[in-house]
Amino acid sequence: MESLPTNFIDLYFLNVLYLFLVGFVGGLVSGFIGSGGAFVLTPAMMSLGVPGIVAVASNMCHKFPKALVGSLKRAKFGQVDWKLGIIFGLFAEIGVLIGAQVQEHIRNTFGDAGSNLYVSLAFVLILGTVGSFVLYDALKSRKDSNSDTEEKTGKLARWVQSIHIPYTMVYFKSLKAKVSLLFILPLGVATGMLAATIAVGGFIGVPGMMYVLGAPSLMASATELVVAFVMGLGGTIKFAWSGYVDIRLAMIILAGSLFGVQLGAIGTTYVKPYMIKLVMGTIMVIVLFSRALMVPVYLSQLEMIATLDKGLVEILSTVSFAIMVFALSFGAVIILGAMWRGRRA
Amino acid sequence: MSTQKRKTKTIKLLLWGLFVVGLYVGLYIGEKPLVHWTAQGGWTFIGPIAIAFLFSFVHGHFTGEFWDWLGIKPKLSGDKK
Repeated sequence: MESLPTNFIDLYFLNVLYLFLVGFVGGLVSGFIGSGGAFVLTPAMMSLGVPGIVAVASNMCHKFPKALVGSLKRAKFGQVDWKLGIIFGLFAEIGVLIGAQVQEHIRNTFGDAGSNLYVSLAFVLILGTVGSFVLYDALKSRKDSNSDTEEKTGKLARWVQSIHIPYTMVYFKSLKAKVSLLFILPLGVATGMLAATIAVGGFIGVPGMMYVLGAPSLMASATELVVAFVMGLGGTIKFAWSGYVDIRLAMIILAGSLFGVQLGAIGTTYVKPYMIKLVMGTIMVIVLFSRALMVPVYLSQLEMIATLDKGLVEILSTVSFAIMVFALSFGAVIILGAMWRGRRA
Repeated sequence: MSTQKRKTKTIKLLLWGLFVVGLYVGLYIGEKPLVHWTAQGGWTFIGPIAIAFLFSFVHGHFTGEFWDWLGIKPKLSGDKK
């Protein structure tokens, strides 16, 4: 009888159900904030015994069709800026390639522990700074009684929109203004680099579109789905070329995530704009603690601090994964709660 | 919603559901050859991508119809808060 390739696992009913449910919650969050559902899927697959590279590849292969369905859905509500999404996505592809190179270099120089430490520190740094700011801004907007009216463009975005650099200016409908491509380039590259590092580029992409370019939060989160589609497609080609995609895993997760992404997209039409920031900021800050817990583990593996007890490492890893799952579930509960209240109103 | 409209929606949901079941049953039955084919690398990268597009098209329609059938619809801009 023909057997599966050596690095692909056998699937059972409970595994399939687990992936379907994680896919649903991930899809719900992605459909709502444009990103953020993917980071828990790779560790979730790895917890079933899927090798890291196959988990990353299969995650990528479910991500681009999910993002496509989500962006088409949100385009129906007039929330997507296709031009910005595609340009941003192409720049992000450059970032993905650079990010992958950096990762490879770190892995070759410092080994797996070094690579894990780099990923965790990136999580802590980005989520700590950007996440706290997004959450602070969400709470501030919440107090503002006019938060359901059009969002105000921030100082930085107004400055960016006022800069005219010949031959690089492009009009974007989401910004209702022309912006130089030279401002979008670093944002796109940073988004791609983050995606290649922690699997969620949107934690830079969405705040970047909101605070640097001046896009309203609903449009930024919807346009991020286009960026995720472009990056996901590029990433899938890269991994599938090397034969790492387990199509079964990708399609099982997709089965759950398409239910979620549609529901999350519908949810955006029920809530005030600050809710996007609130969900994103909350998830980012909770995940920050998840990764921060793992920093001592990797430092110990690199012998930069005293060796940690094996039991303690196991506890820290389990708690870290649990916090990550909690972050995503907490985000899903906020979205469903907000939808529920919106529907009743 | 009128009974006729509801009936049409139910038929559409069932049809898309049938296609989805067909695709996943196909994936289950053809699991091993399909996994071998898509994991060969090189130009067979087109395989996973084509499969992903096909599943997203069919399942995307089904999930859209599913929420709609349950009455979970977007709030139109006219009645937005």
